[in-house]
Amino acid sequence: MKKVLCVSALCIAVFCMGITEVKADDIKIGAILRLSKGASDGLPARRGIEIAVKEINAKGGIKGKPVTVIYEDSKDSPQDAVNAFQKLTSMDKVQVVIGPMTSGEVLAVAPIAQAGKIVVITPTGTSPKISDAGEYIYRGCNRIDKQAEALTKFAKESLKTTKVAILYSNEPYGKGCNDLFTKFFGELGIPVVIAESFMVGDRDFSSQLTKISQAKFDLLFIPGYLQETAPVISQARKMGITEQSMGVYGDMAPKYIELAGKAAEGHVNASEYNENLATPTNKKFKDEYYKIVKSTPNEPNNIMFAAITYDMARLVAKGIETKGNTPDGIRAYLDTVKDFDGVTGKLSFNKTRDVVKQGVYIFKVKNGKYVKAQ
Amino acid sequence: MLIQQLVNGLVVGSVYALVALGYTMIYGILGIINFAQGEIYMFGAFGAVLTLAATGELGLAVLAGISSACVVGVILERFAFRPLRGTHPLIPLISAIGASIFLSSLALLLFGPEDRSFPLDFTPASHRVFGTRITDLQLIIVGVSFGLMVILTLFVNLTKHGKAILAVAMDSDAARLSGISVNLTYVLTFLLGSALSGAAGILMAVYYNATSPTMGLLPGLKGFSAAILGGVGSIPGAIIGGLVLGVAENMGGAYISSSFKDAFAFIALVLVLIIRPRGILGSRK
Repeated sequence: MKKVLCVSALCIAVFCMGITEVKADDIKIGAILRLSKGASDGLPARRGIEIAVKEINAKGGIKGKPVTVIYEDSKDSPQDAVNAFQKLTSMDKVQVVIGPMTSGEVLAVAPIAQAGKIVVITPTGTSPKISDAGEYIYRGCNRIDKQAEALTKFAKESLKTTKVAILYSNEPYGKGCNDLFTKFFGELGIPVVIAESFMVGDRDFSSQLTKISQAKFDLLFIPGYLQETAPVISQARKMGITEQSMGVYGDMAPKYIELAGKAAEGHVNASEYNENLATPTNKKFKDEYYKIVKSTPNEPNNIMFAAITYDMARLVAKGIETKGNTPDGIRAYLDTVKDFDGVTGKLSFNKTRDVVKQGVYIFKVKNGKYVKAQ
Repeated sequence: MLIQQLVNGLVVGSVYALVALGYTMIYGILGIINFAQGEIYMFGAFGAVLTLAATGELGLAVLAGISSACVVGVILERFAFRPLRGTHPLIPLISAIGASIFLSSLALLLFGPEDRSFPLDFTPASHRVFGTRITDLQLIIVGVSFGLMVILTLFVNLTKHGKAILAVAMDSDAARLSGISVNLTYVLTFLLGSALSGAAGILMAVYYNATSPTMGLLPGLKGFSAAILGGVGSIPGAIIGGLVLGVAENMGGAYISSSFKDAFAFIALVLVLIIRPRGILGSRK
């Protein structure tokens, strides 16, 4: 009996090893993404990293060693992001983490990353505060003020906006956008005539929209997440508000058009990525991504997020290859890289470790598709 | 602006009233608060949205939505409430809360966490009445809600089965002695209450254009508040309670702060409970 027990225990032990074992000489990269809440952004981001890793490993990995990415879920909470980060650095001993995706999570993780000297690259955190978070914290997208500058300029020059109404999401992101865009519009001499807010999870916006419909304006700006911004625009159109609408990155998603339907027509928003960028790298990435979309029709897809993480994963791999798999090696590479051939543009990093690319793209919805407006 | 907000309030209020009717009927007859009413509302919305997406037939979708709400309601009556009849009133209450959590988790599993849009994309025509914009959709919502309320009132007061409901609500033992099938009456009450909530769910799925597994939570709470506000157990009370609640939250949202819109509905509830604990039309029991 004892023998049987011993053997079965041994079997279980071996079996478990087989599951968790990552070969010691594999190159491990950590990723903290929005995999449960906010999965409509996080799952595409994961696909972007997967495409990059598949390409690298198909070419024999980095100096003969295959790359493995360990994914953790941030559950949209700074605490969980910190826990995931601790796990990745202490148990998996990663030297670099791609993520977290929201600014709040990045700012929570940053002090620990600084203390432990681990490189963190956020693909989508747009808060200006991340620029001052420390020399190990990098960013793969434009700051929110770059987005504000581009969108307000576009509003003035192309949309000929003279008066703005803002309906913002009442949480740090939406509030920050409200303050920032009000400032930028003000600098261009465009007054914000009314600013109303809604709560995350609200589905009835009639009282705010009624107030807005009484005001005289020619642009309705709706910063927030698409779970609210899509029903907002659809209710606004049903209430007879016909003015031009504008949103931030979050609205750049097939799900937005799906939820808002016809109401999305003409909607203007900013994006980090232009699908039609004519480079061989982009064509390859696009084909690969749409192959995945086709084979997993039920998974949320959003090529913009995949594009950013695809670039970041390739940058990290290149850094490890040229300067070694240490945080300071990766930093040395990122600080000096010039015009990296990314799918989101030609990439470099500035003194505050924010990505520098060709700027912000602006898209307009036409016939249920995002069409590049600038 | 004032009239416009009043119109908005009446539209959502009439839907709250439908949910409140479900609460009030079930309370009137069984003496329990069915906290899963919001989930029945959600299943009604999903039934309609999924059927419409699959077939494109609006009539069929409405039928499917109301039937799925009814099925959920009757199953609840059979498995969550009937076995607990005659126990301490707190026990069915806990059972109802459990059923509510179970149903919303089930919906999360079946339908996924993402919002769905209503598959019928249209921009309703709007009319201007004394400077107030009223859309066809708003008219339809209010019209359908009041139509259902009238039908319910007529049914309860004029038909045999309706009178049976009133009789069981007054005294279930006496009703049984006079030959009324009490079990059947319970099922009928759940059927009616669920159908109304299901209809409310469908109306809101069109109006808000966002159907999700958690959509029933707030309307459920507001329907409950509306039922208490109007005097629980009273059918006209539930209707008045719903309308008052809808108008109160829209006025608060418009003139005080839109960020605290939901709070105003509940402040109205607390005020009524302090000033008139039995509700607007509640009877002294």
